[in-house]
Order: sequence, then C-alpha cells, then structure tokens
Amino acid sequence: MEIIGIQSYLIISLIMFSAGIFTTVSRQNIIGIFMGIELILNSAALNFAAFSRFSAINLEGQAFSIFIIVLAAAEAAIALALLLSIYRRHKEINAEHLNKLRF
Amino acid sequence: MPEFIGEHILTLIIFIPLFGALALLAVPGERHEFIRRASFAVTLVPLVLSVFIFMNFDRGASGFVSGEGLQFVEKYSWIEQFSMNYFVGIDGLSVSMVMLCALICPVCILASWNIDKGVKGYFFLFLLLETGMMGVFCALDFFLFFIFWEVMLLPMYFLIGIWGGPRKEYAAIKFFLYTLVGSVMMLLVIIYFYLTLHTFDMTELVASGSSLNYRMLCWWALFIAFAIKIPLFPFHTWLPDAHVEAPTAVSVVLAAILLKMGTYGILRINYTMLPDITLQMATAMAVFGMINIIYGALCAMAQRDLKKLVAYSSISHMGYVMLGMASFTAEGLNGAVFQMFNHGIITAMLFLIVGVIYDRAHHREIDSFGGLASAMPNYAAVTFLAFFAALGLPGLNSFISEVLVLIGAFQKYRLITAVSATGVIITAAYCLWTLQRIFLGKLDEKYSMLSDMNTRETLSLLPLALLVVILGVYPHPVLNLMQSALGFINGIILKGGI
Amino acid sequence: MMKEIIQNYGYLIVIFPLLGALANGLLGRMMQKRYGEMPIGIIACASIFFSFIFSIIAFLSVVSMQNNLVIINNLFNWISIGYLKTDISFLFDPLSVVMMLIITGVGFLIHLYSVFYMKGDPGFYRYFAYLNLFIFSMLVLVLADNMLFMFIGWEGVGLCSYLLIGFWYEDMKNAVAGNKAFIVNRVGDLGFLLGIFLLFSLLAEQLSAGGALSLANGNSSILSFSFLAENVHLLGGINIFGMSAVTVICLCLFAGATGKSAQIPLYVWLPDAMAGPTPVSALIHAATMVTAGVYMIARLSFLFSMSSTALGVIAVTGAATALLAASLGCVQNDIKKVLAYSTISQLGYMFLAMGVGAYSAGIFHLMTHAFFKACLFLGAGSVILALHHEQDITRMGGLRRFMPMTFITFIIAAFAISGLPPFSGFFSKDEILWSAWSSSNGHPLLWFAGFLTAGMTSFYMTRLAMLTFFGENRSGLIIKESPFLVTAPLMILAFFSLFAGFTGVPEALGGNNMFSHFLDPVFGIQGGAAHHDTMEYVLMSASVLIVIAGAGLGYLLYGHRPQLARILPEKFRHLHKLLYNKYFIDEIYDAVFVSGTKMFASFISAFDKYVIDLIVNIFGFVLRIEAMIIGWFDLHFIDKAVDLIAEFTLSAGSGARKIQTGRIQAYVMLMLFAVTLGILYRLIF
Repeated sequence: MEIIGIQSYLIISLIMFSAGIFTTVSRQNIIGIFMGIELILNSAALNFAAFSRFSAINLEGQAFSIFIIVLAAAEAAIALALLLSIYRRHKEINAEHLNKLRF
Repeated sequence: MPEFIGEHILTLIIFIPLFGALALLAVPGERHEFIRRASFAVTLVPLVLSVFIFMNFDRGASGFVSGEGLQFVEKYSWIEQFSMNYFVGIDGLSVSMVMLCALICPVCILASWNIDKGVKGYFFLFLLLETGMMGVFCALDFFLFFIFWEVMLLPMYFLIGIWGGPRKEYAAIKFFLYTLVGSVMMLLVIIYFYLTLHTFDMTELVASGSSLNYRMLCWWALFIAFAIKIPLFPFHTWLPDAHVEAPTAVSVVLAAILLKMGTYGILRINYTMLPDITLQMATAMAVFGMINIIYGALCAMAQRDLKKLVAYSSISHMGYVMLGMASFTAEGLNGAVFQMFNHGIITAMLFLIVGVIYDRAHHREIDSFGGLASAMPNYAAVTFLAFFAALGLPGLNSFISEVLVLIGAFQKYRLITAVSATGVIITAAYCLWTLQRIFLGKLDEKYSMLSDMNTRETLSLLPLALLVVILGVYPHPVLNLMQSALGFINGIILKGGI
Repeated sequence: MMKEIIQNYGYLIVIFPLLGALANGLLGRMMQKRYGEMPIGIIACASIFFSFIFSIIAFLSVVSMQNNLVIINNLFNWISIGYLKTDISFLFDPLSVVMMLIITGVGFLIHLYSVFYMKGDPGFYRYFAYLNLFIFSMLVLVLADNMLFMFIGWEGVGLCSYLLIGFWYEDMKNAVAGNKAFIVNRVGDLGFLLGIFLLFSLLAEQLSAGGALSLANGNSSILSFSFLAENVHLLGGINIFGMSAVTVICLCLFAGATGKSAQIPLYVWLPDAMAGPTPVSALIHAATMVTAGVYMIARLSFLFSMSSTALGVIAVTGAATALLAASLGCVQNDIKKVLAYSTISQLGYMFLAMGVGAYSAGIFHLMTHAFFKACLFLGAGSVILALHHEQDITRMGGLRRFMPMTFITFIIAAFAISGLPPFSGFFSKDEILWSAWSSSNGHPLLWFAGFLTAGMTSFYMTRLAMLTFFGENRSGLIIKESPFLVTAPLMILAFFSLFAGFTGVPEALGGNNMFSHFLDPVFGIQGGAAHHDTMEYVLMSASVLIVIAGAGLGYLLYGHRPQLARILPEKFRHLHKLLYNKYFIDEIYDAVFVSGTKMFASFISAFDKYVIDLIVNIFGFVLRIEAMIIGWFDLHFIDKAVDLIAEFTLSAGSGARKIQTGRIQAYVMLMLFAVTLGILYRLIF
C-alpha cells in the first residue's frame, strides 16, 4: 500500500477549494454561498493540517485548523442569525436582490 | 484600619469621589434628595482625611524626595515600558491646595442643592471633577499629572455646557478649546521631556532640564499652558464667559480651585524643572502679574453683571499670585501661595453670594438692585465681609497674603510693585461701589419680599467666613505648611539646582 | 505691680471694645427685638468704661516708672516669613497712653451721649457694634508696636468710619459719602503701604548686607518701632529716585497721613463725612480718627526728624490746609460743615507743629482739640436734636434762652478753639505758633499762616455762635433743653476744654510745661529748659489780639448788624461763590479722578470685550475662514481628483460591468481573478 503523500491532500484541498469557489460564485441563495465559503475554509484547514503533518515538528498547523473550525462555527452562527433577521425583513435571501449593503 | 488609611491616604482622597460617582450611577435617577445627600457625604470623606493630613503633616521637612519634603507618598509601577508610575505625594506647596479642594467641594455640593435638571449626571460629573482636581495636586508623575489634568477638563465642559446659562454652549466650547490648546502644549513638552530624559518622575526631573536644547521653548509652552488656566492677561477671555454661564457651584470650583492649578503648575513644573529660564523670565512674570492686577480691577469696575465683576476680580487677585511668585523672595513666594489659598476661600464666598441673590431675583444686574441691606441683613453682613476681604482689609486673610506679596515683590521690582499697589485703590473702589449699588439706598418695592439666607446657604458660607477672619488674625496654620517647601523651591531657582 | 498688670494683660484694653462689638454685632438684633435697647447700650458703654479703667492703670504705671517709660505686652507672633516678622504686641509709652486716655475717655462720654441720641433707631445695635469696633481699631492703631499691626488699626478705623458715615444707608447720599471717605483714605493708604514697603525693603537690604540680619536668625521684628528707632540711621546715605530714601519714605507715609487726617489734597472726604450721626462726627471725625495721621508722624518722629525736606512739606501742607479750611469755614451754613472745616483747619495746625519739629506741641493740641471739638460737635448734636434734625444755621437763632446748658458748654468750647486765654486752645495753639516762628525748621511765613488762621477761626466760631444762639429764633419750633444724658458729657468736655490747657502752661508764662516734658522721652528730647525771649511775648499778644479782632468782626457782622452779613456776600459775589462751593475742588476731583477712573475702566472693559476677545474671536474666525478655504480646496481639488479617479474607475468599470453580474459572486470572481494574476506574476517573474 502506497503511503499517502502530501500531493493527495493538496489535490483534495484543491478540489474542495474549487468546488467552494464555484458554489460561491454560482449560487444565488445566500445559504448556498455560505456553504461555498465553508468549503473554502475547510480546504484551507486541510492544507494547514497537511503541511504541518509533513513539514513541521510541532502542532501549529493542527492548532490552526482547530481555530479555523471554531471560527467557522462562530461565523456560521452569526451568519445564520443575520440571515434569519434578513429573511424576516425581506422575506427572501436571494443575493441578487440584496445588493444595497444596508437594510 | 487606621494604618491602611495612613498609608494610602492620598489614594483614598483621590479615588473616593470617583467611587462615589460610580456608586451614584446605581441609584435611580429620580431619587434627587438621596443623590444630593449621598454626594455630600462622599465629599465629606476627603475633607475628614485632609484634616488628618493637616494634623500629621511634617511642617519642618523640606526637599523634594519621598520621606523628606514629600509626604504620604505612594508609588506603584503603572506602565513599565514607558516608566510611567502611579506616583502621588504632597509637599508644602500642594498640601494647602489639597485642603482647599477638600474644603470647597462639600460647600459646592451644598450650593448645588437646587439643581433639578439631570441631578444624577450633575453630581456624577461633580464627583468626577473632584477626583481630577485632587489628582492634579497630588500627582508627582508628569504623565499622571497630565491625565488628571484632562480628567478634570471633561466634567467641567459638561457641567458648563449642560447646566449653564443661556450661552452655555459658547462658553463651554470656548473654555474647552482654550484649555485644550494649553493641554496640547503641555503634552508636547511632556513627550519631549520623556524622549530626552526618559522619565516622567517629577522628583527626577527637578533641575534636570538644563541638558535640554529647547529650554526656552519648553518653558514658554508650559507657561502658556498654565497661564491660560490662571488666566493671565491676553489668555483670560474664556473666564468671564465661563463664569457667567456656569451654575453657581461650578463657578465656585472654577475660580477657587481650577485657577490655582495654573499657578500651582508653574510653581511645580516651570520652577523646579527649568529654574534657569524661570529666573531669566522673572521680570516678564512680574509684568504679567502687574497687568493682571490693574487690568482685572479696571475691568471689574466697568461690569454691570455681578458675576462678571467677581470673575474679573479673580483675574485681578490672581495677578498678586503671579507678582509674588516672580519675586523669588520668601515673603513673595509664601504670600503668593497663601494668596492662592485665600483667594480660593474669598472667591468661593463671592460666587456663592452671587448665587444666593440670583436664586432669588433671577438676574444679576448690579444697577437694578438697591437697598437690599434692609431686606436681607444677614446676607448683607456676609457680603460685606467677603467684599472687604476681597479688597484686602487688614485683619482679614487676604491682607496678609497681599502684603506679603507686595513686600516680597517690592524688594525686587520697585516700580512694578508700586504700580501694582495702585490696584488696592481700584479694588476698593469697585468693591465699595458694588456694595453701595446692591445694598445701600432705598429698598426697591419689588425686592422687599426677598428672604434672607436659608440654613443651607448659611452653612455653606459660614465656614468660609470664619476662615477669612481666623486666618487674618492667625495665619500660621496655613503659612507653616508651605514655608519650608517654598524655601526649597526658591533655593532651586536661586541656585539653579538642588 | 501695676506695671506687671499692663505687661501681661495690657491687651485687655483692646479686647473689651472688641467683645462689645462682637456681642452687639452678632446678638444685637436679637437683643434689640427681645429686650429693647437697654442691654445693648449697657454692653457698649461698659466695654469702653472697662477699657478706660485699664487705660488709667496703664497711664499710672507708665507715669510711675522712673526711666524707660515703655511697657510692651507681646501677645503672639502674627506673621513670620523671611525677613518679615511682626507680632501682635502692644506698646505703652507716654505717647500711646495719652492717646489711649483721650480715645477711651472721650469715647466713653460719646457712647453715653449716643445712647440718648440714637434712641429709637432701628439700627441701634448696629450703631453700637460699629462704635465699639471703632474704639477697638483706634486703640489698636495707637497701641500697636509695629507698623503692620498699626495698619490693621489704621484701616480698621477707616472701615468703621465708612460704616458709620453710611449708617443711615437708606439715603444714598450717606452711602456715597461713606464710599468717598473710604476710597480717598485708600489713596492715602497706598502711600502709607508703599512707605512701609520701602522702609522694610531698604532696611532689610542694609541689615542683611551688613550681616546684622540673616534669614537663619531673622527674629528681629524690623517694622517694630523700637527696632526702627535704633536702626533707621542706616538709611542715612541712601538715595532712591534721585532723592534721599528717608525723604521718599516720609513723604509716602505723609501721604497716608493726609488721607486719614484730611489734609490737602485729600481733605475732601471729611466735610461729606458729616452725613453720619453727629456723635460719630464728634468721636471719629473730630476727636480721634482724623488725628491718626498726626499720631503716626509723632510715633515715627525719629524717622521724620531725619528729613528736613519732608518736614518742610508737612509744615507747608499743614499751614496751607489750616488757612484753606478756615477760609471755607467762614461761609458754610451747615452747622456740622462749619465744624468739619474747622477740624480740618485745626488738623492743619497739628501738622504744622509736626512739620516744625514741635511734636509734643502737636500732640498737646491734638488733646485739647479732642476735648473742645468733641464738645462743639456734641453741642451741635444737641441743637440738631432739639430742632428735629435741622442743620442750617440760618434757620436757628436765639437758642441760648432755651438751651442754657448746651449754650454755655458750646461757648466755652468756642473760646477754647478760638484760642482765648486761659482756655485750653490758647496754650496749645500758642505753643505751635511759637514753634513755627522759633524752631529751626520754622519760618515766619508759617507763623503768619497760623496767625491768620487763628483770626479766621475766631471769626467763624463767633459767626456760628451768633447765628445759632443769639438773635431771633428763626426755626419756628418750640425748643427744649436736652436731657442730662446729653448735657453731662457736654459739661465734662467743657470742663476739660477749659482746664486741660493748664497741663501744658509754657515756661514763658511761669508754668513748667508738664505735658511736653512727659512726652519728651518719646521724641528723644533730653529735658532742659526751653529757651524763650521777649519775642515770644510779642507773638503771644499778637495772636490774642487777632483772635479778639476776629471775634469782634464776627460779632459786628452777625451779632451787632446782621444786615451787613447779607450785604457782604452780594458785594463780593464771586469770592463768596468760590468759597461757598469750596473752590470747586470736589467738582474738579470728581471730573478728573472719579470720572477719569470710571471712564478708563469702561475703556479697559470695552478693550477687553472688543479687542482682546475680538482677537480671540478673530483667531477663531480666521481658523474658520481657513477651514472654509481648505474645505473649498478640498472640495474642488482634492475631492475633484478623487472624483476623477472615481469617474475613471466608473467608466472603466462600466465597461467591465457588461461582462460581470456586479453581485457578490462577481466580487468573488474578481478576487479570484486578482489572486490568479498575482500567482501568475510570481510564477512568471
């Protein structure tokens, strides 16, 4: 069995990143965009962990991944809260129509 | 417990009003009477503590080192990177000012009893102001000094700007901008000192300015910063406006304590840190003093608004302080600091007196009064005492300080002092003329219903009146406090170093 | 024994009146409301009476000492800063005990008199509080051991005078008169203060330069009289402002004296001061306070003796004042004004005496004057009361029949002031005139001025007496003699007016000039018989003659042929007008000094408001203009540039816009695009 090298992680990460970018760009629904952002974040986290695993002695990269996860969770919470209140006000969460940057 | 108080007495004096102020925030805003009483009680604490200081102050100690001239010292590291310390302590120069401040604040609270608008905010700001003032007089770290200096500025701005008279916004902003200009100048010098000398510690800065390059510039920057507060002649126009618009108690604090910070700052900072320049500029200071005395008195004479008159009389009286300071004689310096104390008491009385009549008649036009002595005999008696103290009647406290100032200055500047002394006549003229227009003559019908002073007003004026008389006959309690410290400062100037 | 009492408790003399003043001042209103006037009067009189008893003890103890007739009662240290050290301490020597006796003695009588005079006045308590305070201040003035402490009394009497002149303050005229008195006095006080400063600073300079005084042991009180007397010679050779220092100091101090003692040019307040109650005029503005200047010069005689220039100025001022005031006294119609001018004139005599170095003669005249002038004023008060506050002598007349006691005492005092032998005024005035002629500082012209004044004095006193007590009763009132409480002080004062002179009968008339010898130690004169020659008798007879001539003229004009008195003023209309309006001095002062100062004050105030504040406001305005310019610049240049960039971006963007959605996704794409570009850049370069 071949040892999984760093390239594999990077390829996965690249795919995730691209998928994230695609989702973010293509979706109209804010929740969709949001999911895309999550994908991008997680691809970055994966990169961190992978680089750390293969290059560093200490666990900095892993620690950063955990930070990113926590941050993503916090961000998700706030974003969803915002979305809820936007929805209450505008009865929709279509990014196309919410281009005023104010409510 | 007593030990704790003894060791941290200055910190307690400075921060108890602040704690009181914060505690006030927890009180429901509509409980006016409780707020007033509570603030009065809070201000009584520093007064009691200052009595303790008065009893335990070592009058013989001189010098500017902790344990010698400096007493009740507390020093803690604050921001180590910039060697800023929480460093407080008092010497003979500041102790009288601390006592004055502790005395005036409760009186002011009494005088603020009839504030009805935003009571909570008012007393909160007032207590904050007391913290600032006490801090300025106690701070021995230049940066700490500056912080307290600014802390004091803000409540003052709001107190004038919110509780003031019709043109309060104009007066408040004028006051604020003026003082801010001074603050900025001072801050620049503080930073310059720090960058070159690497310390904010005033005891280390004594006479250490001699190595600096821009000494003259620094001196003038500091001098103007303080001159604005005093206020000296061309920088004085904020004062009448601020006084006229400010509520009574704020005027009292402004005149009795804030003005003293200017002269205190010059003595504490210009004198000790840049003694050689101070000596060079002596004549200029004396001339400033002379102009203030004459100019203030003449302006006072022409005023129709009683409060404005008192405000200009303050300018005149602060001129004596300046003149005495510039003499570098024991008589002059002691007289100057004693005059600071005395003027604090007398001008407080005068502004309280203006407040009493304003509360009743709702205006302050001197010419439209007349014959009030018949309607308000007690009030008339106190006013006569205050005005006679203001004109320096022998046997009352200001006579001693004015004579000391003039005698001290006369040894150095004969002509300047002789001209300044003519201020004695002008002062007598406007004081008597004012008394005559307000109290003498036929009583106007519309004023016959005015009631005499009530208990609260009497209570606020009586301690001051007693001090005016007692210190006039027996000035030692106050003079003793300052003598050795001023001798030390004078020594720095005359010798150019410690 | 007595000496110990004074040494330890001498201050009580001063304390009693102070306590009286405090009691009446603080509790008087309550007492008057609850218990009436009795307790107030008793407190006031009793305090002065105790003081008087102590004064007698002090007098006796000073007299009983063989040599060194000085007792000092040191209470406590008052100020002690640098070289300046002053004590609250009292000095008892022949000069001060004489003054003290006059003050408490005459003061007590006037207190008694006042109890009746002020009856029913709502301010009764206030009056006695002020009066006691006055006695306190006056005693401090004469008993003070050093100049600064003396200045407390000096200003204190001024304060009381101010309060008492304006006692009936509801009449604005009185209040204004009080103000005038205080402010004019302040002008003099400025001189006095400057004199003290000069004296102090020069002496301190000399002493510290000589090593006799250093800050370390600066425990000698420079301004105390004994120290001054010993050290003032150090100032001998010093010059300042191109004059000898001593002369400058003396002239400064004399300026103070002219204020307090109503001499040229500061006499103008005294006639107006008659607005106060009559007993006040008697006590303050005749017997005691106005003599403070004379006392001060006598007290500092050692200093004044050093400068013959200063003495000359004093003598000439005194003589000129005596003449001027006497000339004004001849035409006044207000009974109190006449007496006021005569007071000024008599004070001129005293200064003349001081100026020619006859200090004890001056003090002698001060004493006799205190008696007869107090008597005259109190008599005038009695008349005024009887006539229901009428003071115009043209509406009096014939009072001698209704008020015999007042009349007799008044006439005795009038004789005394005119200087008719053997009344007291004769001896004192004669001594002054003789000194003016014979002393080394004297001059026949000075004598002549005094001589003329004597004639005018007897003229206007005769005129006053004629118009008041003789002829027809022109008041149209039914007049009663005043009660015993009023006439008793009059009788006592008249008695002294008659006999006080015998304490100082000159050697020329076979006396031994007891009074002057008692004072000699104070003025540093070592006993010995005074020289006298036939000239003294000639001058004496001449002055008696001119007194009689003056009285004769007065009788002729106002007693014998009253119509002449009406014709003369019309004949010399301009002269009369000039005199009646007091040479328009008041108006000139008013126009020059009072209005001048007020105008200057208004000018300065306007300057403050419109120039200084304007500068500040201009400063603010300039800042605002600057801000506007910068704002304009900002708007039209900086902002324009920004706008241009924006417009460029917009136009650039509007192109790009066509291929983009412009939504969030578009931004993300842009970002991606940029990042890709960045990566490409890195890869390529």
